[in-house]
Amino acid sequence: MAMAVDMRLPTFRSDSRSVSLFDRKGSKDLVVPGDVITTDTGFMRGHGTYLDDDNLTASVAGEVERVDKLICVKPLKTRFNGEVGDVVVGRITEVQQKRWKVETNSRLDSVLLLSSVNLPGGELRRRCAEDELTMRSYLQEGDLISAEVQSVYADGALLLHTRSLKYGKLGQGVLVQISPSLIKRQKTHFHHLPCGASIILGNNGFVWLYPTPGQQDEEAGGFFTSLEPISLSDREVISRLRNCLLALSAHKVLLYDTSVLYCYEVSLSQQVKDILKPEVMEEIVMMTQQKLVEHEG
Amino acid sequence: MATVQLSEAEKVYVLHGIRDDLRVDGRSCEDYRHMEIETDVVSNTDGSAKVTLGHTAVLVGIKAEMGKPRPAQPAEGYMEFFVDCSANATPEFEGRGGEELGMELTNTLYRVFNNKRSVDLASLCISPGEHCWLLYVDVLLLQCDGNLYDGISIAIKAALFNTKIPKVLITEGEDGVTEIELSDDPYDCVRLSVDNVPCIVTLCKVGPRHVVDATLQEKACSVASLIMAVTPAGTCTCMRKVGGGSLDPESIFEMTEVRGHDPGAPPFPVCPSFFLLPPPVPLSSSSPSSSSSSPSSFFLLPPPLALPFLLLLLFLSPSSSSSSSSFLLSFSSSSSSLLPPPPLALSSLLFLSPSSSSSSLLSPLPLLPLSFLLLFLSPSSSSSSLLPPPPLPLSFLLLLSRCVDI
Repeated sequence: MAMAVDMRLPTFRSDSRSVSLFDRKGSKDLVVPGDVITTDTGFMRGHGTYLDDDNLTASVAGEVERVDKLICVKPLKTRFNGEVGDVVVGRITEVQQKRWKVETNSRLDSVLLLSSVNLPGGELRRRCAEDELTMRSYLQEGDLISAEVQSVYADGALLLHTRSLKYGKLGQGVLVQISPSLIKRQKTHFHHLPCGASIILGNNGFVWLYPTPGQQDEEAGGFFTSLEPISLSDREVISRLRNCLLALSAHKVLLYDTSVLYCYEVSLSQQVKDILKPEVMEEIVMMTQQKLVEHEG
Repeated sequence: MATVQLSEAEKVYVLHGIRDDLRVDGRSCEDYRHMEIETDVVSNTDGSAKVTLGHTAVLVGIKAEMGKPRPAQPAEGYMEFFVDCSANATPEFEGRGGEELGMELTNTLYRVFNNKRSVDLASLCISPGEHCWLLYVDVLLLQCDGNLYDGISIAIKAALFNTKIPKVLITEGEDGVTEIELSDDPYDCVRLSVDNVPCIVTLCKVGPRHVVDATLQEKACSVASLIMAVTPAGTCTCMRKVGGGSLDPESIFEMTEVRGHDPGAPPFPVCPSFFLLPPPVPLSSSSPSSSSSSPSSFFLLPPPLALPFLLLLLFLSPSSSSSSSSFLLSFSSSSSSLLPPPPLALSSLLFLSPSSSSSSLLSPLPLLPLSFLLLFLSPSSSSSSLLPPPPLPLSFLLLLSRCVDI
């Protein structure tokens, strides 16, 4: 057995990261902190801006948004600001009275009420006091769930629900955490990729990769997780997808099913563990971007 | 220690992956993540380096200052270590949160470098008993993503390589006063030899197998890991077990057989040459089978490791491999370098050698796959009364008890 160690000096690191972000989106107003947005005093100061001697200046790096007289800067690197209907992947941090606290990469922990989950036994099951006492048997600290944002509290905390069979506790798989602004909003965030694995692209930047399930067991209501070993081929696909996701996010490419799949296909010429090497990463991402441009115009 | 939470199913996924030799990031069990080393990054130090290993980032700065040598080693300089766990790495380190981990890392570093072989401390001496260089090695953890020990040791080695110590001129003034003159020319400096500076390899036991360079997720699935500091020559300068769990002796042997990548390099750990005991130690007189007559070239005690009072030496020679792959495991329990060498009266020196079963006290161990040569140095009666026997890690006690039981 050989131990592979790859060491290098930082000179190998090229500085092309920022280029891919800016040259394709020249039409959008992107600013960095300190950039003067306008010198016109007729505008109102919104989030991400400040007044510096009558100049409206950006305080964060991001995209300028104008609503009538109000100017805001929507930051590129931020925590998750949830909206109703967003699909999220989160981790249970606390079990409380009638509710779970869920970490979803937002500023405050999200809330999942016992009344907004599907318990085993079907949708019409009544909740009793016993359910309240056995909450930990359904979801305990550390468990991962997929859920949808039901509403947003005044302080920005999210109220989640899992009242659909597609949501619920997640089983075996890999969680990849990336910036929420890199997830493209789409009709569906659940995809069964043709390469053999499935993906949940949570709007909060948590991406869940798991082997495509054979058939759904509806009786368990989504709380049963199989601990059977996963085949090596499935594992390899998942690991490759994981590294592709990290490569795409390192080069700030928007993530959606097509971009992930193209990146996967491009990366097939490389070994899974080599994808994360900077030069390989750059090459793969460049080829992915090229493919995206070719196929989508 | 920075930790992550994992669900049961995630842990099972990681465990099965390691069992199948395909980790979550596509590496096999004995692959490192890719690593970047940057030297000369802090301008106001004499030597500095930054190592990034995955998302682990470690910054090391070395400052040379002039000081007085320690009374026990008048002709040597010395090194001081300090590990700072910045709250930038993880919010857990805020306030005093990182202190415990910092102390643990610092103590390990002291043990790794507490011998004459890793760094040529004599070259740090300016005038014996009067002046020497002391190197302050300051480690700053910038990000934690597992495998801190390996990252820190590599960063220290890089920083030592980068260290420039100004040349010193000693002039004997009138009335016998020595004057020390520092060279003003920044290029007029001495470089340290880092040929023998050890690197730490952490082997993390996950399920039935072990992995190198464990990420935080993998660490969360493991019960214990073995830390080994090895020099390029193959000397093991420090070996520790960390983590709450215990390690089976067999899995320790398995872990120590991890080999380097270069096929031309000798297998690790290897002993290319004999390390002889310091003269006062009457080894051959009290041992039933002297080292020279033993079949394979065994390690003998390197002098610095002979200092601790209680040494448990296990000479292991894998029965399958050739004589060149016999190696030394040394567990030095008390690393008090300030104390003078103890008399080392090897009153009860037991040898158990695979070839000479002449030892009456212990019989060869047929159950273990590896043949044992157990050398147990007990402290002399005077020194044992001064210091209680230091606690050995549980697993090593287990190992010891198992050997004695049979």
